[in-house]
Amino acid sequence: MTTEETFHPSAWLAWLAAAVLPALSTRNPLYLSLVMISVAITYGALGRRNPTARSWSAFVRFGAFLWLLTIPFVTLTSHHGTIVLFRLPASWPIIGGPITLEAFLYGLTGGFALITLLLIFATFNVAVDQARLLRLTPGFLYQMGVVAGIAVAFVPTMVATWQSIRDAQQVRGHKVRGIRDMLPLIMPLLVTALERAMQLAESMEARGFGGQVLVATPRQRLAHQLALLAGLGLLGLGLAVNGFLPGMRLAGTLQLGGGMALMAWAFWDVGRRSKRTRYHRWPWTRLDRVVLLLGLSGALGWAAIMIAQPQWLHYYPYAPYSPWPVFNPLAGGILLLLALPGALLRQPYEESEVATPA
Amino acid sequence: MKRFIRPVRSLLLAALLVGTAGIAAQTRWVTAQEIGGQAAPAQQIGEGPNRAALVVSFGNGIVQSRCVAFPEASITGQDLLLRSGLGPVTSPEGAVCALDGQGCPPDDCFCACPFPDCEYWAYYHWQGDAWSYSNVGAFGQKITDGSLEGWSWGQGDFTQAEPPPVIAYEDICPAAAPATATPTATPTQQVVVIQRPVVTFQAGAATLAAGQCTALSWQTQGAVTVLLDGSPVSQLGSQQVCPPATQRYTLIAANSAGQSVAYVDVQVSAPATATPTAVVTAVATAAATSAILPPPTRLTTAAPVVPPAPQPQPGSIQPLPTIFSPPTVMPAAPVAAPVPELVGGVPLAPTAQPAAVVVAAPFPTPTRFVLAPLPTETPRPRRQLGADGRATPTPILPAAGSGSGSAEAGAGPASSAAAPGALSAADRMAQERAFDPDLLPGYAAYALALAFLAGLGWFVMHRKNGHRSSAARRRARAADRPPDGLRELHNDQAGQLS
Repeated sequence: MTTEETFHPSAWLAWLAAAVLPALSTRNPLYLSLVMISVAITYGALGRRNPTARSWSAFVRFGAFLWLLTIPFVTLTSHHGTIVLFRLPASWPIIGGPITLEAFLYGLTGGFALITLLLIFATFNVAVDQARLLRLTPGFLYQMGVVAGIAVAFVPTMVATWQSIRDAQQVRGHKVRGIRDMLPLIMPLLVTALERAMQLAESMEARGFGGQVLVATPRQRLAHQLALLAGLGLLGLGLAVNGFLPGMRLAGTLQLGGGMALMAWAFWDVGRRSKRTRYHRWPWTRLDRVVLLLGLSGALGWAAIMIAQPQWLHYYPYAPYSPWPVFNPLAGGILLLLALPGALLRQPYEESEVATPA
Repeated sequence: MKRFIRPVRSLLLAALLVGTAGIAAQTRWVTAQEIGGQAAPAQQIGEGPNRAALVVSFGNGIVQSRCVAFPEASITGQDLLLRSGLGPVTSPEGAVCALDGQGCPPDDCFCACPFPDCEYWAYYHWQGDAWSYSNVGAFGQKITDGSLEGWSWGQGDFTQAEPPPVIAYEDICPAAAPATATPTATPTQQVVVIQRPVVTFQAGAATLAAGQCTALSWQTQGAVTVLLDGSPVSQLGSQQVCPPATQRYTLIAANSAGQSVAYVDVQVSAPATATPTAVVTAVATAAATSAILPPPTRLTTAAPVVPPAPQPQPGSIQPLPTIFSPPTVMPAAPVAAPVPELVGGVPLAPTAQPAAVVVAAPFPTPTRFVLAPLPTETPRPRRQLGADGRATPTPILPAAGSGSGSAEAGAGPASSAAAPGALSAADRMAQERAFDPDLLPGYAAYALALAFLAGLGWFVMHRKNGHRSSAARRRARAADRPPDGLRELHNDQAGQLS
């Protein structure tokens, strides 16, 4: 995608943080529905700009199918709750017992959060090119970034390959009537995936992948390992102190901060050894800054609500809580920011639309 | 997607047929108003040929015992708790988190179990001549006629805990106990009066210099939840504090009967370079006045006069009634005379006001917010949450029969017996979980948000569709335009004609 068709990857990352935080922090169906609709508007505005968008829509449909499957599963197997809709004989295994409204609502909201997350990542994957996203990976995680980029690109590509294999088999008269008929489809898929992986590895080797990393001395490596070890230890100790000794929260917080600082130093020192050059930088436009600001505002605002007013986000249908969800206008207003990037996107011009000069 | 429709449809149809046949054969349909998970069988609750005894120890010397009759050959331990009217709160995993309002919320069932003190509801069965710690939960235990079950709130680990007191089955379920014939018969029970907790709260040093620290120490008896400035703490403990300015610390100890509040004021003297201003000390006489600060509005002797506490709104967090007016002059000189000892460790009686001496602070005392206990006459739709977002287990849901309380005095001694006209635990929970009209403004805001998104979505899709239509028009114009060669010929002919 060109710069005119979408925003800067960093802006999309901020938008991703603003969208993922609500989906992970609450099961309130009112907030989740606003997130889903806002993300869907952005997804609709992005359209089919990315060849892998069709693959991600298949994932979203699969997620919806799982959600519809989760609702009856939780409703029939969880017999907790005080509002009983009907009863099944207790002698029936697993599903026997009272079927409650609370269990139904719990299953409904649980799957709702799942499909919302799927839609968020589908939209993000459509909006951002994997190559450009990979270039934002910190230096100390460059290997992990490459692996993640390959994995993110591999799955939709595999789905596209599956479609083409199936089309080719159908042309040959192959019909899928059962599980046994899937074998002629799975084997070519595996072979194709392995071939693609080998090609990618050879191309990376030919381009000198990994050669630009400065080798650390044994002393430096020891310092990094000790710093990471001490940082992780302090993090664990701080979490334990905050959890089990509520009267020593200050000490626990200091330990957490010290652990994070040690780990950050270790990561920074490892990262600066990975030399990278950027000969083609993505320019920042005014709209990119606006989207970045919207994303950061949404993420920070929601984080502030999580810390200061967590009761706004709490939803639990079982007793003693009410099955009626609460809606706070301020929290809802923050979620509306997720839809604005869709409205700010510029429509691309196709090549055939360019008028030929007289 | 179409490829999935046929097999899924077949599966759903088959499941529907099987389920309908089974349900039609053996299932009873219960209305959605059923509460407490209690079925509405043909026999009434508390009637039946089988009986089981229940002993519940709340850990503060209070014990309740119930005799529950049931018609089935066996019921689960959970059913026994539900039918006893104790309003059990369970986690999704089946653990009992709270009984009769004492315990923890379902999402943090072991909230009172931090290391090393672990308090939780332990389950016991009477086997032979002693209590036996249960290895299964309430859902897994089968209760038959003659069973004696026990629940005890106390310290322990996951293999042993404090057992409930020994009470004979015949004392709880006498042999000649007649079956009640009323449609809403309640199981027999013993009435036990629950007292509010006793609190001792003190500071190591009442006056500090700037930058100094002191230790706050407290001790409670009979408390289920203890909060220090809104943060949960143990029933017995201490905490080091280093206030930058004069500050009031609030300790709240609560149980099912209500809550007791204690305060400690720690005064921090200002540096010597501050503008000298007299520091007013509260004296026992009401006529004492100060040239700078207004007189205190509360006496510490005789009948303490407390400003009437504002009627707490259901669900709101109420500020503590301010004892003193804020001073008009900020800085204070170092106190030459020894300042009388501030709040000492004065144990609070259930109906007594704190007998501490509160010194007028040279700096405005920050208002402290405390969760106001709710009057029982207007039960709330949902449980109020504490500062950390978790539901405070006990004080927001006072026991049935307790009188209305103010922010300071709290409720009076509670009775576990259902007083005439008072709601049972199950009915009160039902009212709290019903739809609350206070939610309507939020739902209206949600509808507005939906309308905004609908408009934005229409704009986005319309813009995309309009762009497509304009692109189609441009393509059509480009197709109608003659080729360049023909255009030049036309221009030449036009020029010749002119």
